[in-house]
Amino acid sequence: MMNEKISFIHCADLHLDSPFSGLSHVSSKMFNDIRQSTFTALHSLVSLAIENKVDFVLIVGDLFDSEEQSLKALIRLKHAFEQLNKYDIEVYISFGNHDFLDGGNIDVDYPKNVHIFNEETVTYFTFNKKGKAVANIYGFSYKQRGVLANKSLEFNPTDENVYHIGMLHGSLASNTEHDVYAPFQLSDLINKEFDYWALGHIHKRQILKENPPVVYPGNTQGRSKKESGEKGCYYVELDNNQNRLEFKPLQQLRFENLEIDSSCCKQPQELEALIEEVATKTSTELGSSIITIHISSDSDHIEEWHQAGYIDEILDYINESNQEVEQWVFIRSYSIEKRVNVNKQELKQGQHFLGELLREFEGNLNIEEYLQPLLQHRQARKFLSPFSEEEQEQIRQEAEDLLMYQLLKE
Amino acid sequence: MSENMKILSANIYGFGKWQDQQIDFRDKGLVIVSGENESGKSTLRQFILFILFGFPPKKRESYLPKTGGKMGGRLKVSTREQGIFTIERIHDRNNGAAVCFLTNGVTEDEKWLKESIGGIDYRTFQSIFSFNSSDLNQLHTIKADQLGEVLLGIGMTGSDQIYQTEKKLDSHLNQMFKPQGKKPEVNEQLINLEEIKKRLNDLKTEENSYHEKKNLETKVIEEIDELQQELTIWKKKQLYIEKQIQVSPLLNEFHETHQQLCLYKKDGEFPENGIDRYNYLKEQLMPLKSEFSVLKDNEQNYLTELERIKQLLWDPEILEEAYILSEKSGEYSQSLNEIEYLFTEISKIKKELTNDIDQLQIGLRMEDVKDLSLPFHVEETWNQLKNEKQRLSMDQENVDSETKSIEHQMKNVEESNQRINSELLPLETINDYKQKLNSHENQTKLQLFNDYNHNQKNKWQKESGQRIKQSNIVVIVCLLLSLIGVGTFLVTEINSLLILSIVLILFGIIQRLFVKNSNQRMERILNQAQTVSNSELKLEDEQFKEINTILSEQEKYLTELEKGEDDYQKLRIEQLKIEEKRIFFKTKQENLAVQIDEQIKLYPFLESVDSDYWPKLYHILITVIQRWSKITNLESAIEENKKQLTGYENEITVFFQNNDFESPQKETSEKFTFLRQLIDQQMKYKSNLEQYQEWQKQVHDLQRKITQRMKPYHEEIESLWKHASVEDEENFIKKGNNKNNQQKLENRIADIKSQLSQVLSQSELENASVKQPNEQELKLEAGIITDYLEEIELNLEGKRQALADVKALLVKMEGREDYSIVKHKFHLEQDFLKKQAKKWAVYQLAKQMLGETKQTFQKNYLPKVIKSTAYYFKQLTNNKYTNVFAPSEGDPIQVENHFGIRFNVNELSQGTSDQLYMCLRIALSEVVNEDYQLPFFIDDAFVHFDENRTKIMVKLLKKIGNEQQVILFTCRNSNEFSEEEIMDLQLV
Repeated sequence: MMNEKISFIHCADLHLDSPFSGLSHVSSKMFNDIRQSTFTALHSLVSLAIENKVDFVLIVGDLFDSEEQSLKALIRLKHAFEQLNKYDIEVYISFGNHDFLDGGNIDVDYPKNVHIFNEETVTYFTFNKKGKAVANIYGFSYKQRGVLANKSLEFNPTDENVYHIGMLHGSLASNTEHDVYAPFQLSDLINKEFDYWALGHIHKRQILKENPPVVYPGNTQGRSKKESGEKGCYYVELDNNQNRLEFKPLQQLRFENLEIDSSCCKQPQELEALIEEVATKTSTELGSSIITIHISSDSDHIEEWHQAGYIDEILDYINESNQEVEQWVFIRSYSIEKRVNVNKQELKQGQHFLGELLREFEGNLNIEEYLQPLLQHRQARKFLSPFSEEEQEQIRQEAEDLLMYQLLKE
Repeated sequence: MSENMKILSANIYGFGKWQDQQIDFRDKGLVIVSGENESGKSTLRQFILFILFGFPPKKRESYLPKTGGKMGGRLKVSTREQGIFTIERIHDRNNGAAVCFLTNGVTEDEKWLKESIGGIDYRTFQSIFSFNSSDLNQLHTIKADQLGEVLLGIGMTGSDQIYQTEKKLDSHLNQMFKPQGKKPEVNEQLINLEEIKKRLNDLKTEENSYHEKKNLETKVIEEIDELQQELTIWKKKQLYIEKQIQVSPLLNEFHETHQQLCLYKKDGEFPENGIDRYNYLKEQLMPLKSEFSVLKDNEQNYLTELERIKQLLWDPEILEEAYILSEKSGEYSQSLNEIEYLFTEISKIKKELTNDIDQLQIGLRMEDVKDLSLPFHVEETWNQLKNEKQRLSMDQENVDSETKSIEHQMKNVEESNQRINSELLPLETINDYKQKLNSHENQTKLQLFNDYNHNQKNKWQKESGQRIKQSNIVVIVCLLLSLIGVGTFLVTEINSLLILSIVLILFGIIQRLFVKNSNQRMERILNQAQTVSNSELKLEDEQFKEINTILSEQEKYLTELEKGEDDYQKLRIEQLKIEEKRIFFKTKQENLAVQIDEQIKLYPFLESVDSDYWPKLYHILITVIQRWSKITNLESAIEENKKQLTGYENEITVFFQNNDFESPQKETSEKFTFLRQLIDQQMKYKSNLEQYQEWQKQVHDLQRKITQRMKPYHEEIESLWKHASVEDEENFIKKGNNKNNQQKLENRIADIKSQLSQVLSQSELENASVKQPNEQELKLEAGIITDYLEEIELNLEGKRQALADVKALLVKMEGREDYSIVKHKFHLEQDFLKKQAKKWAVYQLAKQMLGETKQTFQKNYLPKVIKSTAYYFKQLTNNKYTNVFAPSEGDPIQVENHFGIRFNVNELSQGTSDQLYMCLRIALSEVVNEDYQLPFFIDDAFVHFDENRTKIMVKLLKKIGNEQQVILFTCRNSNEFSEEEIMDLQLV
């Protein structure tokens, strides 16, 4: 027997009103745009659902961050659901590690079209279309921040002849890049008779498998340098054995990493023009963007300009100049790659001070130890997270570059 | 350790002041280059450095030879690994890059060179292998504890730069962060964050209170719900009480009615709706009954009527007789009418007759008519007479008119004859005119002939001209032909031709003559004709015409006159004939008058009538006679009818007398009419009788049918009575009324109940029907409830206000974005702090690393340096000082003499300390770069050395030079050094 075709939107990790990372001083317009971006994405999501007349919307966890949950986020969410309710679009929600059930969520009276998985054990809702059951939607919510069991094992479809859709907020057991919650093996999912696996938790969009679709839609709005490019959700159509997936971007602003070759620049002004050009191009092509520039050069100037603070000045100038435009670009930081390295290797061999210094840097450094004065500072400790290994490496590198530059300066 | 680099010789192509210079260093360990100032020592030194390390273009340019020529040169060196090779650099070749020529013929490049000299660049070389007197002076000035610093400065980077870097880092770090500070950036940011965090926490607390507020809202809503429920309950109660009060009269009535009803309950059975049904039956019966009684009444009426009619009816025989009699009335009245008609006819005819006779006016009387008879031939006779008379008078007239017309004609002819006679001319005149006319005609004919002749002559003249011309042409032609013929003859001598020619000529001439002749003849004829001349006198045209006219007129008159005399004769004969006719007619008229008189004698009345009108009179008289006979006929018919009338009169009078009928009139016709009326009446009676009998029968039928229809109703009524156990209507109705009352009461109760049920619920109703309410008590209770309700409502109002407040607050909170904004801001500031911290961390790490490296460096190298220094110092002082100690804890460098006595460096003489520093410097270089030993470049280091010491110094350097080439640049007199080492530039 054939089932009615259904269409829905699959999204996850909305992280409504959760702050961005890696940004400092931005203009008030940018600040406002940034702050509103997760909501604007939500708004776009709602519009998309209404426009496509979908049957329902799946939100697979991390709608917001419990720890810093703002009332605004909840109210906006509620309004969004009310909007969907007007168009008879159902909403199925499971909570994840950021908005786990015991995380002190404020009670909100969601409209009747909202179905929340309120338990940590897998349950299901039946979706009816034209008075006939067409889909069973399975899911669970995190009760506590961490769910370490393989929840995929609990997903067992009924033998009804309907679409079976699993909502699972978790990560592949093999993925160690993120906090591993509700770990599963891809085979765990594929072996079940499910028509669609709606995953959440991983902010990077990926289709683990085409048939049946096992999909991470990624988050709806990038919030850091790592979450670059387009962000959004999947529009899905299930028509018995046919399925159609279409990614729909929702982001209001993008994080982008840009490469710039400044070899040709002889003067800081030339570099400025180059960066400005790239920034303008980015804003025109991609809309408002927060970008990280990676400057490479085979000239010695770049290090000089870097150490002399010219590049900072250039970026400040560019950032200031497009503070209030509609589609803006904010250059959050830059990195430098010197393709011509000073004869560091040779220097390292030398018995002189610089050689010794370089060898010191090469050695097993406990950087945090050197940074104790700040890290142990009573106030700073409160507000400053420890430096990650990556950051430590950056610090080490920059310190080395700084010393090299200063000591070799003629 | 193996052989170090040695500079063997230099070949300067051009460099500064040097040009095409060959300098040999003779493979010596110590090379002393001496010369006065400006002798080119430094330039030589720069040349060597240029060849070894290369110079940037700008620097190269400053050494371009002043005199022109190419800048560059060669340096021959030997190294431990590569052996002897030559380095060549030329300024404008390959950007001053080095080319190395190996002994085995291989050529190498800059990179190879760099590797060969241990990767050391110009800067490194300068700092390690090159020093001068000022460096030594510096050593003197440094404090003991700064020796370490000095040590750091030997190598890639000067101690100054390290120091500057440290200072800079310190300043950065201080600017950024001080653990106890407030101003530095990070501290400021921390304070900023602290404030934001506090604000954030406040807002968070406020947002968390949303939860409480929400709970409060729920609680208040619940309370309001409860209150509202209570309110509803109590309002219901109030309503119930009020209803009870409202319905208490009804309830009272209910109870009373109920009691009344109980009284009726004892009565026995009564059919359902008995009265109604009974009444219905009665209603149904009523029309039947009334119909029945109407029928009865009708029947009675019919009977009475029948009796009456029967009495009025005659015996059938009398009726028969009367009938026959009445039949005769028609005949009677017909006779009567006929008589009347006849009388009128007679009078009408008589009137006409009188009219006719009167119109005749011939004195004829009625009596005359009576006896008048006209036989059939009279008419014909009269007609003949009339016609005869008419014919005669007509003939007479004709004769008269003919006579007159002839007389008239005769008179006219006579007149015309007389007139013509007067017009006629005398005969001689006429003859004269005739003669004149004849002569005129002859003359006219002559003139016409002459004219003709003249014309002919003209014509002829023309024609003769032409003829002559033609004959001339013929002559010429004949001549020509004859000439030709003669010519030909002369040539051919044919005779016939000659003859022909002669004939031709002849013919021409004859022809010409003939023509001429005929012309002349013709002319003559013509001229003769012209000779007829005009001999007579010719008349004028008008005259001629006039005479002609007169003659023709006279002729006409003569003819007319002749004819007129003939006519007159004829008319005369005619007159005579007419006269005879007249006499004939007169005789005839006389005969006719005799005949007329005969007739008058027969019929005297004709006398006054012209015989012309007799036929017409005949016809009138015939009509009169006919009418008279008609009158006679009519009179006899009247007599006949009168006889019949008398018969009828007797008959009817007898009938009336026989049957004792009184007729109101005496007239017979009226009697007949009366009789007719009587008969009609009898007929009416008879039909009435039949009608009534028919109706009587119908009434009987209807009565039977009605009785049949009434039967079931009666039966029904019977059954009703039986059911109600009564015998009669009275009891039945009485019982029925009781039942009705009971029903009414029951209805009333139901009515009350239904009214109550509109107000009261089922259970309330049941309660109320059991117990009779006490209004007083109810009113009291109502008062209490109202008070309580007011209290609840007041409470509810309060709660509602509270709910509105909390809702408003919630809405306000929901609308607020402060927390969101501050949260985002906090994170941004936190990120900014991180950024700052990272920057600080870079400085901090750099500074720490710098410090640590310094320590490591000193720790690792200082002992070596001191040891080496001690070695050199011992050598230099000829074992006077055996040991040197590194400065420590406030003490400067110390030296130990061979007695084991230690001296602070400042306790030593200037020279000795110079020596110590010299040793220290060399040791430093040695230690810092022990792997790559390039030649030492020493500039005027011995300024302060005395001769002895200088010697020792040279000795030392020489010793060092055994292992590492030393090139000493000095301006000292060369005799202070042993000769073989000196390379005096003045000598070069």
